[in-house]
Amino acid sequence: MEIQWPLIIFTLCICLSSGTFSCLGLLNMLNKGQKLQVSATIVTMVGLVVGGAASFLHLQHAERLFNGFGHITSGITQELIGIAILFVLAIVYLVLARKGNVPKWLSVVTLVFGLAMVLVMANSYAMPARPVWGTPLLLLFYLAQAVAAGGATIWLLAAFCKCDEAIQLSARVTAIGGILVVVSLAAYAGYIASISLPAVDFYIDPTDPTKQIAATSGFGNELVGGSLASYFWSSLIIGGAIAAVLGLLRWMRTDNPLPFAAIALVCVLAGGFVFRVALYILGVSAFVFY
Amino acid sequence: MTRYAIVTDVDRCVGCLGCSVACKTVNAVPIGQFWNKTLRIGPNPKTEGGHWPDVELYYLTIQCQHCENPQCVEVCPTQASQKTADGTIQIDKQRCIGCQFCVMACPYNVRYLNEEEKVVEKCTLCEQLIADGKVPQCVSQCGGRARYFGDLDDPNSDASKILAETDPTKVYSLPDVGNKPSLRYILREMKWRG
Repeated sequence: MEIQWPLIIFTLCICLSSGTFSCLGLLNMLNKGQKLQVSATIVTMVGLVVGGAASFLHLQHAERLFNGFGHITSGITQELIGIAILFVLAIVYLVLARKGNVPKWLSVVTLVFGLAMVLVMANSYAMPARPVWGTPLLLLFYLAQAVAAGGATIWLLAAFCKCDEAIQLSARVTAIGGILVVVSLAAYAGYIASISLPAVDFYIDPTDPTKQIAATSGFGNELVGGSLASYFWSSLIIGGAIAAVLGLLRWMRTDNPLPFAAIALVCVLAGGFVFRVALYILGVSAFVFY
Repeated sequence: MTRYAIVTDVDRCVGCLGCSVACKTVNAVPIGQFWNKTLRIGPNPKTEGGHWPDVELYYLTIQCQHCENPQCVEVCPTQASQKTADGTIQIDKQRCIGCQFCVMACPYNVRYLNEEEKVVEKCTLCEQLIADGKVPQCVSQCGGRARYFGDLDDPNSDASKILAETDPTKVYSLPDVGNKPSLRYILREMKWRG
């Protein structure tokens, strides 16, 4: 289907901000990274605002947003509720962080809610009508992305603040996230290869007679070795493997972490961006002829 | 309960595109969009490995299937897409914010963004006509008299009658991904390919 750039930016921002917030909660649970509390919370809030603004650009009639908005079964409604709760949580966290007293329970809530937000967002795209999207693997991919992006963001902030205890832990989270991205993408490629849509053999649309017959299978070959191979492999290698390797290297070494963290974050975001584009290109409807 | 639907006797369809044209005319469907589309399925071999002249083809008309479990309604954040009391799916254009999630959630690609009005549109089963006791324009205009409209819960409706007269194994619907399409297709002699 047609690539929806605002939604790509939106999902990327939500993965980054939710992952950062969750990673921050993890740090605080372990009594680490006190210097990062304020800056990481601000990054979370900025991510939510930028993501939210991007999703508004996708609406044709944004001025009607609250004209009956709130159908609870809608993924968009659930996302908006999730973003609002996460934003309020971030404000509370920020206030308490400035006082230097973030309670443990709030850290747990932060960790859980950040990851839950990613699942809510991913679930709104997991539609049975789009076989490539309608799978729990989409949720796994977004979750892996959030872990990697959140870990790398905290890692970068920790490197700026020279907060060694947080550097070590966030590098581990980035490495784990990178490995998860690689695993989820490999599983996703396997799933996509197994997709076979209903076929009608030869057909023609009399209003568009020169249109090529739509493919109903072979999406996996297209992704791994065909026209989309550069998207897939760059997502897997740049967005997953490099971030994992950088995180693992940092895990074992103690030299200047700043370039490692910056490269890891850029790689995770770039890889995530590219695979989202591939998902849109492959996101044909279940009945592909129309 | 009312469940309005169209039953198409595919054996009678001659592929004249009259339904597609009538729909565009009566509903002012924008250029390039078709609330009611006609596809030619075939020519395909009648048997595995067969070739001309042992081939067959039929015409399949595609429109909103007015599903029993419409995903487009579920994903709509403003309830602009709604299932009405007569079983049809309608769009309240004043409520539509143009997010196009309903377009993504439809397995048949029969929803379109009206670029001028910036809202999503689709087949309404000519609600303006059926509210007046008439039948949808694609039904009244069908040159092959292949289309039957009516309430599937009313045994005396045209749609129910043709279904009752037909071998149930020759009645088909479009692929179902959990949305339960309401429209039906009858194909007696040829192999149904979807």
